[in-house]
Amino acid sequence: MAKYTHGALGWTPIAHADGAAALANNSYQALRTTTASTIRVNDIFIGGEATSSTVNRMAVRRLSTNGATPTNQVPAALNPLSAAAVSQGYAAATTGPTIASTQHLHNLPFNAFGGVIRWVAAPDEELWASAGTAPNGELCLDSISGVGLVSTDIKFEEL
Amino acid sequence: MGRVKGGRGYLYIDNRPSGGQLLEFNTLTCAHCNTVVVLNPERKRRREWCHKCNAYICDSVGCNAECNPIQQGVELALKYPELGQPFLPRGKNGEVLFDTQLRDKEKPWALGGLNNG
Repeated sequence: MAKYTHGALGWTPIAHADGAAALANNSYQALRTTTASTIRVNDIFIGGEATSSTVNRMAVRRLSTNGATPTNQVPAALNPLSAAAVSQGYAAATTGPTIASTQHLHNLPFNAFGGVIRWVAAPDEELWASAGTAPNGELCLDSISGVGLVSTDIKFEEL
Repeated sequence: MGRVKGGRGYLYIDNRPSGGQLLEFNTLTCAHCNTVVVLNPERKRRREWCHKCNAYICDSVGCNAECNPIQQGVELALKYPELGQPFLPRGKNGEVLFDTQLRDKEKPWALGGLNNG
């Protein structure tokens, strides 16, 4: 299946507790599927760009309410011969998404003062999202605490 | 053949620019709740395994109570998108949050399915 990447460059996280609603624009990176699409995330990269020591507790979580009218950003195909992705990335919406108060999929703490995180899934160990509707259809990468500037990139496979 | 035979995920955390350490870990992903587990190399206890779906599962109570693979949740989410049921998220203890009758409906009667006709 085709693989895609969506990046969010130079965004300042806001500490979002579980259940945080209407997230501010550019304080998260989200991926959204459609009713007929499924994605599985197999690679997450976070690069810290803070100018002083700042510990960020980043997390991948599901959304209990999807962002309303998101500003879609088309993920780039890793193989130029792949069809355009059906799923979309976004970091802004007319009303931001709401973080689900459910189990976190991945917690990624690091120091954003130049720190780097990369997680790569083994085959069949990916993170799933499917069918578009909340709370199944979208994934969100944001901060639980810590507001150091970051750039992030999520790679996923679309089924 | 279990899923972990194919290898483990890899987590790289480089805090050296801020005076910290370079950390590298293996990871596994729970086949039931889809949570990524960073493996503690010092762990002595055995890791959990679901013999029904033949895959690694995390220590959460809900994940050990019964077999609810995340991929089954994906199938249900695609089949019943209009219901808005939380087929993929799990509670803080790994418990399923959706109506399990929908899951059981898909099973053959001989395996405890509610409706096969």
